[in-house]
Order: sequence, then C-alpha cells, then structure tokens
Amino acid sequence: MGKFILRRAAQALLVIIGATLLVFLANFAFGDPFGSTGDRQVPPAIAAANRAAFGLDQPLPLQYLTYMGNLFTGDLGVDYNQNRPVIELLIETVPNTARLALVAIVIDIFIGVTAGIIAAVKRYSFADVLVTVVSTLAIGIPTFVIGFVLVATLSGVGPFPTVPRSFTVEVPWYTEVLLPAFALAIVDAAFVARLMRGSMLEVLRSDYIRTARAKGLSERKVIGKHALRNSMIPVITYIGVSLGGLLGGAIITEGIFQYPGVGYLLFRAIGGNNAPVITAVVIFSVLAIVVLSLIVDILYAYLDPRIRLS
Amino acid sequence: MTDMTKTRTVGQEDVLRATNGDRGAPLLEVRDLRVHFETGGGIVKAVDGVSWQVREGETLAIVGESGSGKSVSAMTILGLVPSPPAVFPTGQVLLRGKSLLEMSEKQQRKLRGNEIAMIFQDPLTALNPVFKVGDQIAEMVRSHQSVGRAAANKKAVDLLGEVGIPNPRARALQYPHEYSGGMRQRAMIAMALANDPQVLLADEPTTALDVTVQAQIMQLLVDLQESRNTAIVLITHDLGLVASHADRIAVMYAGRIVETGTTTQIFSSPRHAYTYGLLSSLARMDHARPERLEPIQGQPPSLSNVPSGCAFHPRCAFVTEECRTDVPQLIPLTVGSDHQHACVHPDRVAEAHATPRPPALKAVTPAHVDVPPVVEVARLVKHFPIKSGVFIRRTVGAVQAVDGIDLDIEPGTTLSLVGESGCGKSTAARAILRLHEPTSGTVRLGEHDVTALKPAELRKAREDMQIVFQDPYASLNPRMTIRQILSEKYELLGGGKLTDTTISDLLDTVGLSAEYADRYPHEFSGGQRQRVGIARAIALNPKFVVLDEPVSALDVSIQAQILNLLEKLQADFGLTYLFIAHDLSVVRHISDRVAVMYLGRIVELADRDDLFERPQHPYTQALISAVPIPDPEVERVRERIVLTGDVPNPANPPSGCRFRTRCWKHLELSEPDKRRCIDIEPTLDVTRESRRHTVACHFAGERQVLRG
Repeated sequence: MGKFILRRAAQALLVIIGATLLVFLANFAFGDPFGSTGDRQVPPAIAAANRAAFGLDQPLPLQYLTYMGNLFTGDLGVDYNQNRPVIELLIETVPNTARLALVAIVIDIFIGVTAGIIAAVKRYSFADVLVTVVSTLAIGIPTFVIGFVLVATLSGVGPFPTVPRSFTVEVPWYTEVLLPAFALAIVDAAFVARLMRGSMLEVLRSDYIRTARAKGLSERKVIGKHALRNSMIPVITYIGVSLGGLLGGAIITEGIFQYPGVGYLLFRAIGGNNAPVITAVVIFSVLAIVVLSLIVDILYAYLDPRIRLS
Repeated sequence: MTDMTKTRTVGQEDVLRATNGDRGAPLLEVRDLRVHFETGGGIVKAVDGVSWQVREGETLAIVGESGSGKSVSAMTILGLVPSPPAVFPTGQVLLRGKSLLEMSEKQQRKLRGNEIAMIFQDPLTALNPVFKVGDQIAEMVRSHQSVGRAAANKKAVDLLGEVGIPNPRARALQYPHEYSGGMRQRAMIAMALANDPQVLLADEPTTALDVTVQAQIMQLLVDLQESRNTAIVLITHDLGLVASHADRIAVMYAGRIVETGTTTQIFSSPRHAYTYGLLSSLARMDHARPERLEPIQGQPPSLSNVPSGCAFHPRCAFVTEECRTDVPQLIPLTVGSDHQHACVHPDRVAEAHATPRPPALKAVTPAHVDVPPVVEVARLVKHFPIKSGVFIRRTVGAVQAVDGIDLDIEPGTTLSLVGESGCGKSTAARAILRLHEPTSGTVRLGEHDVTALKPAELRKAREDMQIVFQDPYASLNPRMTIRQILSEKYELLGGGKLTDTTISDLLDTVGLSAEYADRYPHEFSGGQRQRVGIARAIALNPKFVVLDEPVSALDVSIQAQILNLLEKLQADFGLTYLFIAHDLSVVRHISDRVAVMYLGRIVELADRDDLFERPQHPYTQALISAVPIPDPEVERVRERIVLTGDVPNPANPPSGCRFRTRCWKHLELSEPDKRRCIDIEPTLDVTRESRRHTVACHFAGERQVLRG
C-alpha cells in the first residue's frame, strides 16, 4: 500500500509538471494581458512596466522555471487584476466548490444508484422503462441548458437567490448550492443509473447470486448485500472521476449560477486573461483528479479483495 | 392403432404407484414436472413431464447432455427458476409429502439451504468474491438458526474442518480467490451442510475440477452421506462418476426421462437407444484393445423445437415409423420392475448392446517402433519471470511452468501429454510451437530446428505445425465466415494452392457440408465449430498438429464424433499428433505413447498399454486410479488412491522429487529412503521391463490401479 501510494505520487508529479507546461503555453498563446483594458489601449510605457513587474519580459522557458520554482515553495503568484496572491483566491473559493461538488455527488449517488437498482431488479417493468427513457433524455440535454432552465424558473423563487447575483447580499450556503448542485447532478445521475443498472443486471446473473438465493436468503439480502457490493465496483470508478472533475470546478454551471467557486473564478480569469489564476486553478483541478483516482483505486481494493494494489 | 397407443401410454403415475409400494415413503419426490419458458422464439420445454424420487441415504443420478433439462429440474425444486418467463403447467415437488411448489415464497425460503441444499458446478463463481469464506458459511447458519454471530462463526470453522480444509480457523478469514479449486468446492459443501439438510442437490459438482480433486470431493460426499444419511441428487453428464457413486440413475433427453433404473441395470442392460448410444460413445480406460467409439449422430435438439414422437428419433440407429409419431412413455421392463424405459425398440437395443464392437483403428494399426521421430523436443524450458519493485521492476523469481522436458514423437503417431491443471502441459505445447517463446531447449520438426528459426522462417514453418484449441467458441473469429477463416490460412502462410474446390473439399474432409462455408461461427454447434477448428489446422497439410484438449468442452456424444474424425484424419494423411488432455479415458483411446507431467517435469513416459496396464510412477498410479470407469462392476472392486492436497506452487517447487509432498508411496518409506526423495531429484530412467518405458522415481514399482 505504501509502495503503491509512493508510485502514484511520482506519477502525479509528472502529470502536474506536464499540465503546467501546457497551461503556460496556452497562456502565452492568449497574448499580452496588459496591452489593453477593455476597449481602451493601455499606454505602451505602462503596459511595459506591468509586464516587467510580473516578469513577462523574461524569455518563456525562464518564466516557466521561475513559476515551477515558486510553485514548490507554495507560491502561486499574484493575480493581474486585483494584485492579490492567487493562493488567497483559491482559499476563498475552494471550500465553496467542495461543498457544491459534495452536494451534487450525494444527489447524484442517491438518485442514480437507487434508480439503477430499481430498474435492474424490476427489469422490463414500467419503472425500468421510465428510468431508461428519463436517463436517455437527461444525458441528451447539455448541462448548461438545464442550468439556464433552472435559473429561469427557480432563481429568486422561495429561498433560492436571484441570478444575476448581488454579492453584497449574504445567503445561507444551502440556498445557493442547491440549484447548481442539482443541475450538475442530473446528467451524472443519469449516467450512474445506467451504469448501475447494467452492472447490477450482470451481477444478478452470476453464480454467487444463485448461491445466495439457494441459501434461502431474503431477496432484500440477496440484492442489498450480495449484489450491491459487487455491482458498485464499476460505479465507484465513475463517481470518483466525476467527483474529481467537479472539485476542479464546474466552469459552465458555476458561471451560469454565478456561484462563488473555483469554476466561476476560472470563468472570470479566462475572460480577463488572468494567467496566474488560470494556471493555479488548472493545477488544482489536476491535483483533485489525481487524488480522487488514487482514492478510487484504494476503495476498489477494499470493495474487491481480488484486486491487490501494486 | 388406438389399442397400441393405449398399451404403450400407461401413465407414469400408475407405473410409479405400482413399482414403489414396498420401499417406504420417498424423501423427495418429483411428479410429472413440466417447466416451460415462454420466449420470443416460442415455448422452450426445458422439463416436460419428469418424475423421480429419492430416499434417505440414497444417491440418485440424473444424467444428460447439456440442454437436457437436468439442471432446470433441480433449480425448480429450490424454487429458483424465475417465473415469468418460466411457467409450470403441471407437476408437484413433494418433500416428505409437503408440496413445495404451492408454498409461499417465504415458506420456500425456509426450506432452501435448510432442508434442501445445493452445490454447483463452478466453485470459483459460486462463492461471492467479496466476502470471506467463513462469513459466507456463517451467513448460511444464521439465516436458518437463531444463533449469534460468534456461534455461527465457530460453526463455520468447525464445518470447514469437517470437510477437510487444513487450518480452518485461518482459512475461514480468507476470501474465495485465496482458495484452490478443490478447496472452494469443499467450502461450498461445508456451506451446503451447515444446516444438516435432508437432501443435497449436486449439480455437476466435480466437472470443473481435476480427476485427482474429483476423487477427493466424491470421497468427501460419500463419507458425509454415510454419517448424515443425506439423500443426494447427483446431476451430471459423466457416466464414469455415476457408475461409482449412484444407487439409481435417471437418463434425461430433451426434457424427459428416457430410462431409469438401478445403476447396475442401466449399465449392464440399457434398453433405451439413447442410453445405449451414450455408453457406446464413451472411451473406456480399462479396455486393453479399445473398441471403436460409436458416436451418436447429429446433436441434441433445441428445446424450443423438439422432434415429434420420440425426441431422440432423428439421431437414433433403430428408428422406425412409430418412433416419429407417438411419444413413448416410461414403462417397466418387466411387470413390477423399477427398470423403466421409454423406447419403442428395447429388444433391438439389448441385442446391439450384447454384440461386441469392432476394435478402434488405433488398436489394429501396428505400433511405429524404431522409426526416426518427426518431432524431437530436448530439454525444453519455459519460465515466466516474476517481477517486483516500486520504480524499477526486477525479476525476483520464475514460475517454472515447463522445466526441462524431452519428447520424441514418431511420424503418424499420437503422443499424449497428461497431468493435472497447472502441470504445464498446455504451456509445453505452446512452447513447442513457439507460440510462447521457450526459455531454452530445442525443438526439431523434420529437418527444421524450430527454436532457431527467424521470424519469417518461423511463419513459413507454421505450414507444417498447427494447433487445435480447446474452446471452439472462443477460438474462431466471430466476424469471419468459415470460408474466410479457412482461406486466410492460404493467404497468410502462402503455402498450398487455393482453388474453387479447396474449401468445400476441406469441409467435406472434416464431415461438414460445403454449403456451410459462408456461414458465421455462431450458427454452428460446439461439435461443428470444433470440426471447423480442425479443418483450419489441417488446411495446409501439416506434418504435426497439437491438439490442446480438443474434446473437453464438448458433450459426450459429440466427443466420440470428434475423436473418430481425428483418428480418421491421422490414418488418411499420416498426421503426427501431440494430444494435450486431462481425460485419461480419451487418452487411452487415442494415443500411441503417453507422457505424464507433474509440475513442469515428465515423470513417466511409455507406450499406451504399458502405461495404463503397468504404471510405475506413484503419480501415474494415483491419476489412473482417480478416473472413474463407466462400469459399476469394475468400480465396485477398484481401489482408489486419493491424493491429498493440491499441486504446489510452480514458482517454488519442492526440493528433490517434486511429487514427494503429495506422494502416497513416500509416506510408506523408511526415514533414509524419505531423505533420498527430499534431497535427490530422480531422473527419467528406462525401466527394467521395456526400453520404451521411462520413469522418474527412486522407488518406482508396479501397482494395479486399473481394474482392481
């Protein structure tokens, strides 16, 4: 296990170095962040002074090496707009995104797994057909459409805050998290339901389920104990990767709901050509996915004792 | 006409009433059971009017090929056939007179695993991989007895000990994948016995296991049956197993029982053409001059389209017009006899059974002695490295799958390589063909040194050396037609000429109609696919063909067809075979010479009759003694050497003689002799009796294990 984590950490390091390099090149391709503010041209002297202040007058390889050097001391740089340390921006937004991701994943698992089990156990019944039709529909609709529909119908209704948001008004966290979480969960839940249904059907056909029934166990135990743990194995992978993605920031959904998470931060940073923020958020997303997939692998070995971590 | 039908269709009920009056009430009784499945393709009559019964302490065997309905009837007893799609038009299942099928699901559940328990064919898949073995057994205890967790766990450990699992306390905490195949089946049996059931349904309990392990498991079942007086319903296709372990037999075909009687009656005087067909298509290990196999033609019918009249009539050698119209009912052989058959021509079957069969081709062709061999294998080694390490993968050991074997095969003969699974026989075959690159050693085929060929030359040489695989379902590309599969050979290897008639001639040679050429593999039955596999192997007139368990995935009646085909092809084209098998009956039938392998080494090598009649190595003797012979008279007097334990890990074989850890003879030796086995590795030496018989044992000696 220790060896396994060590090897995965080494792999993660390589991934992060590669990802940073790519973002660096992308930022460079975006062009000069200080040439203009909105429509107005910035006087060349001021622009040059800004570039020098942020080290953009250095050759690109040197910029990269400097950045990487700082990164390993925990310094993510300063953002171009507000001149605040990027780390502060992350500390403000990451908890919000984590909250959103967790709420979304809980809704996702609850709806997806339940619907999948019902559809598999009551195969070809009305419930099964309903799950299949609704999940196909949900997968077919892009998340942003669901987001816009929710904004149009429910924002400002009851406890849900109005969009566009006014950031001077404080709202309880659950009121602002519910709608975007739901928008994110719907498509994922549809995937999970289908995955769960397929996986459960396959497990229900297996010999050990026949054995469990031949033991005289109740159907509840056969499904809830013997079948569930085996059929969760592929679902866990999907949920793990999906959670990793959500933690890295749901850019579009957070953007639509103007939810103060890393996704919305990135959304604004890209609009403002704010390279230090973009790079930091990307590193954070990569890290989230790497850590989550490590957790998934460990969970895998726990769920299926035949898998050994090596 | 009406009169005739009337006399023949005495109801099964009447017969049962007449014949069973004097033997006490049956424990479990099935009466006129029908299980039909309503599918898109019509009604599948999986079980169609089956009646049988079993008493305390008795073993009833239900024998049939795949698709005969034998498993479905057992699953119905447990209430495990889902309905829909199944319907039960008629039938009763009575356990001590209580009717099972009319019970509520809850009441049925109380019986399942409690009064009626079941063990299944494949112990690997029948245990839940994610729960500990001990917990799975304890769960069985707790679902029918009101005991606490600790008491149930203790009971699980006791049961594991009772079924012969060494160190049961530690083993109970392991997962199924940490058990060997035989141990898994023992664990299944422990689970089945947890609540002292009255009836044990055993569905092909040893089919997935080696013969040596099969002998262990069957011995265990016999012992447990004696101590607990359990009734066993043994569902199997293996007539050998039935001969030694059943009291009574019911033979099923296409969802019906076609013959039933005591084991002796069925084997000594079969009266149904199908029973007779099964018996005469079986290869027998104990026959000095093996008889020619008489396969049943064709294949078992689809249960959605059962032939009219007697379902067996399209394949029957005795068929007459009556067989096509009326469904024959089970009738007693003589009034009051419990030997019953459903055949129109019992007398003709009896006559055929009494007629001696002609000897097999192999038994009449002279042995090829003192001809230079066409295949020479010398010191062949195949090791698979074991790697370890965090960043840099180092080789830390090797699985010694094949560890220095020598074989010579004379032209036009068959050499069989036998042994338990994991002994390295398949790896050896693949290394000989260089499908696995050998670690060291040489293989000569005719004038070629196969091991020294460059890749391009090797491809060319493949014309001369071909292979037929075990699983005809997995070894044909499902997206290619038979014509594409066969003509690919000519295109890829460039040998031979592909003319308009090549493919049809080839199909004709293996007994398939030329019009099948443009069909896809899934349109064929297992036996037909294996014929395609053979056609592919012989397409370019090879010298040498490796047959890797070519019949072990096939039904008994189909096995004989394929074996006869292989013999005929060898006679016609002078093919040289390396036959890989675990079924010694088949090996005795088809081989000229036999090599016995254990843990990567050959322990004994001899001409066929020499090996079976005068085996010298304790392992060969154990192997032969473990194979059941389909003849209850022989089985009654035979001695069975039951080997303990499993094959050791080939990455870490025992010192000295590799077999010593399981050897029955080793246990009987004096201390200094034992040391010899532990310290000195025996070499393969010529025996005193024959220079063509070699054995690797310090204490080799004959022991009669074939007939008793």
